[in-house]
Amino acid sequence: MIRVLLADDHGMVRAGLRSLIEETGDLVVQAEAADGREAIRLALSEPVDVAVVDISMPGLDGLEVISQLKAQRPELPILVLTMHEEEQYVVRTISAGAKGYITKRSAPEQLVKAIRQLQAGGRYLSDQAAEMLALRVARGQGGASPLDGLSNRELQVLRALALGQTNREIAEAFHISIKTVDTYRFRLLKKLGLRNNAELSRFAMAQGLVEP
Amino acid sequence: MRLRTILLVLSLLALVSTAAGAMYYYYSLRASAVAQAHRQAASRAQMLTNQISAFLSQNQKPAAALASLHQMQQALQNPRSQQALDQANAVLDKFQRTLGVDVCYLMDPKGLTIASSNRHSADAFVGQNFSFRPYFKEAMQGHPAKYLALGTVSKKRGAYYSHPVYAADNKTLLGVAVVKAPIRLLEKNIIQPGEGVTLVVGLYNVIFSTSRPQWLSHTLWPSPLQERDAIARTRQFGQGPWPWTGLSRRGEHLVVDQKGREYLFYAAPLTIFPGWRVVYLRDLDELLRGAWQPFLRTTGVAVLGMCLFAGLLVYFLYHKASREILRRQVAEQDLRLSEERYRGLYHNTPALLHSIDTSGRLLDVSAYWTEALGYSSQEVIGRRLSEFMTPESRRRAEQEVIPSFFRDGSCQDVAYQFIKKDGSVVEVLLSAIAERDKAGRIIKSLAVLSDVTTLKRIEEELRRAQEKLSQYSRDLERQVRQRTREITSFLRYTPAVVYMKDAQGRYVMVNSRFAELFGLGTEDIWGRTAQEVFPRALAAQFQANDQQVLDSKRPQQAEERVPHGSEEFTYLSVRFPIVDETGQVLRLCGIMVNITDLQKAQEKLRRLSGAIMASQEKERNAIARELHDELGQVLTALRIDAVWLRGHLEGADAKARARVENMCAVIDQTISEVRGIATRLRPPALDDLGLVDALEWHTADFERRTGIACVFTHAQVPPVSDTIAIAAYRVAQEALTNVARHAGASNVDVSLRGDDGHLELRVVDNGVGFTADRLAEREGLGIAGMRERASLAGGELSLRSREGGGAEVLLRLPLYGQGGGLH
Repeated sequence: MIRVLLADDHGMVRAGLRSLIEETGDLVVQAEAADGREAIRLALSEPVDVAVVDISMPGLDGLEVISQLKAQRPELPILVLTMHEEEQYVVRTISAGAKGYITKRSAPEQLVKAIRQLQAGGRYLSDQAAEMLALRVARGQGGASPLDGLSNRELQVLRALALGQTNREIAEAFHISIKTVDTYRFRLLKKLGLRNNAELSRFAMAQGLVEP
Repeated sequence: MRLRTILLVLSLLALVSTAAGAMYYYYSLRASAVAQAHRQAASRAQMLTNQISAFLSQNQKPAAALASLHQMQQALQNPRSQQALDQANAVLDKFQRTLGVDVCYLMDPKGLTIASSNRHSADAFVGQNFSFRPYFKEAMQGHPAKYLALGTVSKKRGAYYSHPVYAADNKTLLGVAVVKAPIRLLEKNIIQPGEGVTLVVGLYNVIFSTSRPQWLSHTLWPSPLQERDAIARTRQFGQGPWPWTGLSRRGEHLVVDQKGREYLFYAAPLTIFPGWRVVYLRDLDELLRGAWQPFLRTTGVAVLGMCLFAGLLVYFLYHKASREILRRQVAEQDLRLSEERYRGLYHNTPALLHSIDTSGRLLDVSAYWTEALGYSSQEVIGRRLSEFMTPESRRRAEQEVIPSFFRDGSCQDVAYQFIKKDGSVVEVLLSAIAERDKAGRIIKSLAVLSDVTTLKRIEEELRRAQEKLSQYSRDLERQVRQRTREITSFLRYTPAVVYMKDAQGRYVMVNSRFAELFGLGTEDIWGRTAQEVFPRALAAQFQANDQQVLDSKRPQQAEERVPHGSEEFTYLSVRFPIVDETGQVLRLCGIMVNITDLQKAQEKLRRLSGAIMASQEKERNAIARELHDELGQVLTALRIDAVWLRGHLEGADAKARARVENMCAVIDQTISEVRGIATRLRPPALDDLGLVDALEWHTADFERRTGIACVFTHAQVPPVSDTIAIAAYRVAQEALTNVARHAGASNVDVSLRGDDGHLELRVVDNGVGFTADRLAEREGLGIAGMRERASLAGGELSLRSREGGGAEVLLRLPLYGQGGGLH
């Protein structure tokens, strides 16, 4: 039996989520919180295995909730469940210590799977969220990295080029035009002082952006 | 006239010599052409003879071959055997076809044709006896023969080739085999019409073949009657008649036809037919035409050109000569006229001239004199001069002037009044000199009168003009006084403070407002400087602004603060110099308007605008939250249930399942739309995650939407207040919108940097940049809004075009202090 803490300010949503969770039979909603403070209180007092937390709640900022829980009950895995689909939210919540991130829209399909994965000690992220995270982490390492001068999108394109993807593939993956991809490639070469794609690949490997 | 004749003769001579040269050239060209034609004709005749001989010999051997065939022998030995004849005929047919000749036939020793390739045609030879033909006779004596004739049966000209046919023992002569070839082949291949006429002439000069068909069967020369009988007897040239071509000899190699046309004549014997000749005629006229044409083409043009040149030269010289002659005539005419004028000078000069004799009677008057006084010369000559004067003048003339003149010999500028015929008076000045005889006695006078009536009138007019002028200047003075009063009134009643200083900064005039503001009137301040009358700070402010105008010599505008009692007013002060023609500043004028209240109102307006913008942001934020958190959540809950329902209808009612499927799709769509609206109103990331994340999201979203590469970088951005964050975000948003709409850029950099208590947002694109027009256009499209936001947050916005294209929007906001303090 996996016990779940459900923190969401919206009763109707909580009801829906509860039915999703309890339908499994071996998952149970141990506690429900309608705001951030209550969520922290319940997480500390109730014997829960996984906390499912919305980051837009009244009272206490969602990110703050994650930080405090992380500080006070570090072993409790936190799954962020939110309306927000922007990549920036993924990076910030995972950096704050959440173990998983799913959008509410995908809850019916992914919530139970994510809870199980977190309970088993793993992480749960969508592919794109995982990549964003990897880039952010790569840039976060060390002091003066040559990657510091690059934007997220430049990092993404650099990684894709290093992996040997064609301009067309990259354009399709990032929903941008081939011309834009080429602009990025040119800027990367100029910024990094490199001459061609082969050098880009070597550089990306040296920086740990891609596996050798 | 003589000059023209000479020129004409010269030009004729030039023409004649040109023409003579051309003639000589032409004749030598012609002689050489004729000589060459003779050579060509001789060789052509010989060549034709060779060709015709060769052509006419070619069927001799086939005839021999035909005669040697045993079918021929069989047919001649067994003339009654139909089989033998058939075989012979078959062979003849084959030869005829192979050789392409008219006919091949076989004759028995009596000359009777027993077999022939033309046996089936209307003019068949079989059964015909050709024993009269020389070729038959020759063959029967054992010699092969050839012969040219017009066929008696076929009526076609042909070359006959006969050969004796021997029996198997090679001794007994059985008959003759004959091949008849058509002459038209010869005409087709060799004797073609072209340069010259080719004739094949037989015995008795009968033309057997020719390139000129109308001469066929004619005799070359006129022939006597008995010769015609002989021709008929040979049966070689048909029935006749054989008319004469009309040619007759003129020399060894020259013939002429009846029309007088001359031909070169060259003949060569045709040795294989004794007595026959090949004749070649070449038309001499045609030949010379051939020589004449190139002459016309080259020399003709040159001659024409020279003639034209000569003609033009003559025209030019003639033209020059005529002008010279005309010029002389005009000069002579001028001289004559000048003499005549001289003679008529006295009478026709536009001056009043007269002469009187010692008794005071008029001897002579100029035409101008009579015209001016209105008399004719008949009316005045012989009468006393004084008769034409007013009584006063007459008295003076008779008693004083005339006696004294005839005593002294001259008088000068005597004022008289003459009476014209119409009764009006003319004022004149008379000057005269005397003409004396050889003894020195005065015999008559020569006087000149000048009409001073006009002079007097002009003097009068001048006097009136002077009066008018002094009237004008009185008016002008009055106007100046009035204008001065007007200006003084303006200065007194204007709400502006007005003053005027000299170039050294000394006050020369101030208006009443100035007096009210500073408590100093013109009398108090005249000749003093600002330093002398105002507190030090105020004087320094005035002087600094004055100096700018004196240096630039241009109007300047400045805001000045003036203390007044316990208050301080703000004045908008306009200064302008008054300069003289050399550019030297004479006066410095100042007009000051109190704008204190205006500035207060502006400040109030700015605060109001800020409040409106802030409230708009707040409202947007509230609506976005409401949409995102409330409606979004409800839709999410709805989706959870809909998906649950979909799972439970798995394998059940297909219709219900389709409905649920559709429901899920509609909910998804609605969630996307609600999120989109909320984000457009105010991106949640701005409030949840802060400026950097919000801009990161916005730039990526911009790139996705527009396809313009958009790179966001940031460095050392500290936490900022909502006001700063919103201002920076909205300015970035507006700048990027402008880039997408107007810049035509392919990439844009957005950078955010915190340093030295400021936050700097820079949006740089590689598009067309700002032009004055585009800036004005953009000012209405959001730049005003950006400026407003910048100023509300206490910062400033600058726009500029970059070297090498592109534009830069720079927003600089203070992190602390005015409107930007941390919450």
